Amino acid sequence: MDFGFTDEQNLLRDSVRKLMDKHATPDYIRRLEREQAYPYELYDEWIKAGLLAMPFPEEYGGLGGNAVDLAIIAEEISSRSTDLCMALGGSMFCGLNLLRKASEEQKRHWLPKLLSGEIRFSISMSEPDAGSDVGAMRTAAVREGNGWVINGQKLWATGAAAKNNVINMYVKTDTKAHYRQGMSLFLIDKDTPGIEMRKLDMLGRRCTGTYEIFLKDVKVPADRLVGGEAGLNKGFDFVLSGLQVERVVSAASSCGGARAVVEIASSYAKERKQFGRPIGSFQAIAHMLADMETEAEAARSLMYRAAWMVASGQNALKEITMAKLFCAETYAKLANMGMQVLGGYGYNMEFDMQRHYRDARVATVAAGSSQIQRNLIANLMGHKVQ
Amino acid sequence: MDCRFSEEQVLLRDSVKKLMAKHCPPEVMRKLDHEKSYPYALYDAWVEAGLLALPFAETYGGLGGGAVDAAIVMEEISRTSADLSMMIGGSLFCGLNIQRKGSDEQKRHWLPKLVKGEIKMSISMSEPDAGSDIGAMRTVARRDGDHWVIDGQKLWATGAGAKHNVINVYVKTDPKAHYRQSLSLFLVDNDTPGVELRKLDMLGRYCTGTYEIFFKEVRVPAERLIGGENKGWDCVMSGLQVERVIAAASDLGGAQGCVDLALAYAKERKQFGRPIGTFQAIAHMLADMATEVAAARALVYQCASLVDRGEDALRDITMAKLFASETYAKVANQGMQIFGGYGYNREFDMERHYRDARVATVAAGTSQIQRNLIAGLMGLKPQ
Repeated sequence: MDFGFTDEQNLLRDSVRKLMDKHATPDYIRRLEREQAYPYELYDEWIKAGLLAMPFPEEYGGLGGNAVDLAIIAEEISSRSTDLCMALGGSMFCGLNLLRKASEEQKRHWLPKLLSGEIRFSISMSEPDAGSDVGAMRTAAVREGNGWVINGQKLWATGAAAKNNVINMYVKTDTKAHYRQGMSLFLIDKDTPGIEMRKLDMLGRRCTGTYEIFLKDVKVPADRLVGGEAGLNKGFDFVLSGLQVERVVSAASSCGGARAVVEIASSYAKERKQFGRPIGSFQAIAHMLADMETEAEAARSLMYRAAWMVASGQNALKEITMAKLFCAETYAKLANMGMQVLGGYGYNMEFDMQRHYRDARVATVAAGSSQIQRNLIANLMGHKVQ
Repeated sequence: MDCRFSEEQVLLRDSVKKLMAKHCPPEVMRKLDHEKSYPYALYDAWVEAGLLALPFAETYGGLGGGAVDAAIVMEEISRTSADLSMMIGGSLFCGLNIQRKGSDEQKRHWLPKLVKGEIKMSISMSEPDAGSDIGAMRTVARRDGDHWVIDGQKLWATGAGAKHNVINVYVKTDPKAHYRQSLSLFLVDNDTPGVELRKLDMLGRYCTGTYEIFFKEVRVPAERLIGGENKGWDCVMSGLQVERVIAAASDLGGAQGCVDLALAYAKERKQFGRPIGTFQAIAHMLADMATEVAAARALVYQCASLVDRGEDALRDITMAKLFASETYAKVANQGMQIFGGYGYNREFDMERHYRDARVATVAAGTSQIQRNLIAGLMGLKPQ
């Protein structure tokens, strides 16, 4: 039994840390946040450092890494900003989906472009009436000649409008069938005629951006249907097959965010003096920080164990679902405690704690709400939850 | 990274599971609890299965196992009863302390007897006025020729009254010095003249038993001093990590026991025409319980493997003890809620866990003391 990283993984972690120290300084992150700007320069640095290539096989230009490597990258980036991590996370997660489910031709076409930074990927599934209830999806693609025409409306599409982004969109291709048999996945350039996007004003995660997408007679060639004809109506299988990796990224990101919150609160508590001594020397504050540190470590331990299971090819659905639930809840909880430790400064927009507090709030909602995770865990425990 | 048990460890876990199912099925456990009796036959079965020998060096009759192995044993026993796990936990922890701090002669004398089950060992440190505040300890030993004479009173001594038990008692040997430089560890047979034990009436953990000990001019030969005169605090500190692995793994097992019980009940119990586990309100409680126990498990075994590799795991193991004990107390409470009236009924096992769990956040260092230490290791100086 060995919970430790390999030497290569330690190197990877150190190099991501160094990269972020250099290119994602606190000032840079604060400026992006204020301007609600996408981190193009940082994304290019990630590409240059091979972070996006890490989990892909060498034949498509990747570095042959695994889920633990993925988790290390997501944790370290998120220890600066979980918002920024979503820019990379979307490309990674969608790319890995293609790796599993696309035709050989599609993989050879798309993956090298993705890994070289020529294009980006973002995912789009939710709609105004279809959140956890995927079956309520109404956006549909109908055949027209060799291609498809898509009409409908999508919501909460993270990072959809970034330059050179290709939206990985799930739509219905058989409106009469159950969603498990009636969804397909299309790759749609974000500036395809007929697509209109609106950046939404959200509480947090403002840099990667959250979008509403309107699709009016959007024409998509047949080769943009992932998996080709064999992939038709198989969208839900794609969703399921990607679940474990998506949750590794999401859980690791929440872990990184949680760690950041503890670090900020702990260093503040050492500096800030009240009643003549650092507030961290009062048990009331010290014990809050000890609990925060403990819960962040428990989350990490759970997440890396699950990531290791995924990396070693075991079925980790239950473990990774628990990790997603626990890490997200921990990030949200610790951010709230961190606000308390920082007092008025936490509430002040010049300090980073309020950003984490805002960014953390959606951790328990995005990539499957905590309620949906609990349903799945309970089902895997043998309950038929209604 | 390889978070898996070795094949031997999987075998170990399965064999402890089988042993517990055979020698301590639910009806036996209930009887033990109701009669508040020490399960000597079960302890002998552990000895026979080599569980006591497991973490000790082969030189002393041990099997050369490590902290992960000890954690597996503690977790599996505690799934049935965290109370019962304290019997083996006490012997293991005290024995490992002797293995680290005893002289070669002491190790050769005591460890084979312990491993073979000829004797048991229990720890005794707390006093009426000295709980977390060890400096308030007043029981003393003074030299008298080649003996020491102990006078004083100890409290909350777990398992002290068991047959053939040797109490590992910490006392002051220099009343004027700071406790870090004045404690000493003695091995005292529990039937030594002058030792008087009183079994205390506690909320839970009835079987191992909690005792008050009165020492009246108890004469102890000098060779029963472990680790040197005034070196007791070093003994305490050197054993902290293993003690907390053992305690945390026990809490983990207890917590898993609660999830096992609540899960099985929620599948069987029907209300409004369907199993209560199909209602989200109950299902989500169970999902949270299972998730928190999984987090505790990852943390405990991560620490145990750190200890096995000889790395400093103080911070991690302190967090594991804190988290696992709080989790046990929390899921026992949630389990009570799921069981409804049956949970409150003494014919069911949930109320036993609820009682046993309550002391998890107090024994082997309170949650408050763990938090002080964690905060200290974070560079805060809590006062």
